[in-house]
Amino acid sequence: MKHQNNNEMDMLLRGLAGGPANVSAEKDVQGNHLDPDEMNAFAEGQVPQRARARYVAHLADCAQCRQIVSTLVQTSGVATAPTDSAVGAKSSSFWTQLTTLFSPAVLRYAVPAVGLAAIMGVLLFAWRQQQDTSFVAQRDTKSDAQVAPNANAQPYSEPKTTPGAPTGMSTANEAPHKTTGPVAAGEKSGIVGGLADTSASAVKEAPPVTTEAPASRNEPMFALEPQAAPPPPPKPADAAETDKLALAKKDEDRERAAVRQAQVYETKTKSDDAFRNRSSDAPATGTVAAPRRRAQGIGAARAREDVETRRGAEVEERSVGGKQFRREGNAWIDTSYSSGRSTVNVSRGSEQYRALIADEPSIRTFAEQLSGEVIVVWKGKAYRIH
Amino acid sequence: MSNRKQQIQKLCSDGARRLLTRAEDNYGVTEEVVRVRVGSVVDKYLLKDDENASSQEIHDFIEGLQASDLCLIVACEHGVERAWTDLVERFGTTVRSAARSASSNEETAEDLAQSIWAELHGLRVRDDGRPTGKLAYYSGRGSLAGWLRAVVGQLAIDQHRKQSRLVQTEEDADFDRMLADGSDSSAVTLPAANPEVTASQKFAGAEMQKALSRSIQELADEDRLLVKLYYFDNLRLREAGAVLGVHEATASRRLTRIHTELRQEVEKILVGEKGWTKPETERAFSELAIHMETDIEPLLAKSGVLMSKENEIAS
Repeated sequence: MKHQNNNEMDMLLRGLAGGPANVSAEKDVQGNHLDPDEMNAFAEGQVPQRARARYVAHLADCAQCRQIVSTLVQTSGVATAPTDSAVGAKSSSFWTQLTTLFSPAVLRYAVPAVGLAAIMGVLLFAWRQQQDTSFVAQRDTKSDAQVAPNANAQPYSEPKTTPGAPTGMSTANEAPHKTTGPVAAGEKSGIVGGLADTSASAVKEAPPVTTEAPASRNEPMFALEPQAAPPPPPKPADAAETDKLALAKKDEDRERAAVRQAQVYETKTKSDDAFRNRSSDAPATGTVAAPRRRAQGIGAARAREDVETRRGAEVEERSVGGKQFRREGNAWIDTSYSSGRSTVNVSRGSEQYRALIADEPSIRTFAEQLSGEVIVVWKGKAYRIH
Repeated sequence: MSNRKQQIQKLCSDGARRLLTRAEDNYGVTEEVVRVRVGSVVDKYLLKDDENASSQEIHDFIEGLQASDLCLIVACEHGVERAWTDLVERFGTTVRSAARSASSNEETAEDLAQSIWAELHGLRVRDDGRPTGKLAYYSGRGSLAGWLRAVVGQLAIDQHRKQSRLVQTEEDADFDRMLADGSDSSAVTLPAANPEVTASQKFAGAEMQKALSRSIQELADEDRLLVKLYYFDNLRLREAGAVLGVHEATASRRLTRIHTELRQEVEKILVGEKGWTKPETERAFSELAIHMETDIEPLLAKSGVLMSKENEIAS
């Protein structure tokens, strides 16, 4: 609105200036023009303030003098370098300019501005340094993780404890996992036999294993979850890389064969058990069947252990419920899972989890047999159980 | 002699002495002669507006004088031939250039330049035997080159006025009659050539322009000068600012403020004195502005004939 008003006034003034009406106001001053000296002094800004006011009043109403003054201003080049000082412009020397530069009026603003700029420069420099440092640190951490993802394995969220467990293992939840009776003790001793020190120093001696008790006592005690073996140091040469790949392939083949063998054994033991159960009147449930199942489970688990220990490679795999899981850090990931897949997050013990396992009991098996985070693909859906 | 006068005389004497030492070439002029000139300059520029100007102000004012140029002109005034030779040699080009700018052709420019030297020297002789001339009017406050350009400009206008009085054009006669008759709504700028403009609109336009002229006259001197320089003299904003000694941006801001003030003043006149309503005033502003925008070209062309005589120096 203000802009429009200004435009309207601009047009009206131009129209007024274009007409003859303006001349009448200036006819009165014809007899009292400024002399050339006054006009020149005004044009060059050499007139004292009081005299200047007088000349301005005259020029405002005298077109003739105004024309001459305008011409003088244009030709003298003052128009190219106007200043805001109209009175007595003195020639300024270097020292005068320097004095002006360091005058209190200038320093009042210049000093804080310079200080602020300096502070910002220091902060920026420090931030850049920090970025570089953190970048390097991340790179080192990442490379270590890639080379030995399990070398610094943390204690699992589902703790595992047994008496006499090596240091570093959590014993906080030992009580819930205790089982009573001789079987439990035997089980534990059996388990203990498979234990190894999880500390990095003991890794080299034997494949480290850690014990883990299932959450539910009713379920058979399955295989001890072996600790991930630290990967061997990478070979620098390309030829060594090729050899490594070939070795890994051989290991995989051997592993598959062992897994098949274990599965066959498991099936056989199950069928034997079923046969015995049918032939005898021994109850299917109870303490008699349970130890047998446990034994079967242990046997199968040992077979798997063999597979895994035989493998001794960087990647750890397990087979649970007919599905293959590979270990990545603290998580067991279904081999059929792809990272781009949408995943349902489920927390153990939550309502959602209880509903899920009620609908899909097999998922319960995965969640209970694998500790830590489990990503499983079931019936076309991916679940992340943690 | 009063103390004040003695004080001023002493200041002028001291100032003259210093001025002579500052000058590159004083051409042998005496301190007394320079003192008289300095005294007259101090009277003209300082004491005329402030009789009680301080000694420091007088001292600083004298120190700001162009010593070399003033000594040259004073020497020329007192007939020092060497000074005249130097004057013509150093400033001949400046005078010719200024004469060319003020004239329509080379012949007129040459005539004008020759007239300048005659004017400077003076064709008549004073009682003391010294020629009368414009040299006595140079104060040394501004540069000698600028002063010479101003002399050329003024002389060109004077000559043109003399010639134009001898041959008055028909348009000039009409113009004079119109002005003598006072304000005439038909003479105002609403385009009569536009058949769509009704009589009421013409009348409204005339009233508004009268109010606008009055408002302009009531502006402060500096504001009025800026309006005249920018709108009436067609200077660029930068040039108008330079005349006022301000930056272009400052001049622009001032002009915006002036627009607002003028609008308020015009509204006050139209509503308070002419009985217009506010909506009528607003409508008139916008309608007239639209008309001005579409028809300003022929208006400027028409008024250009009347204004050319005033603008010849600037062309």
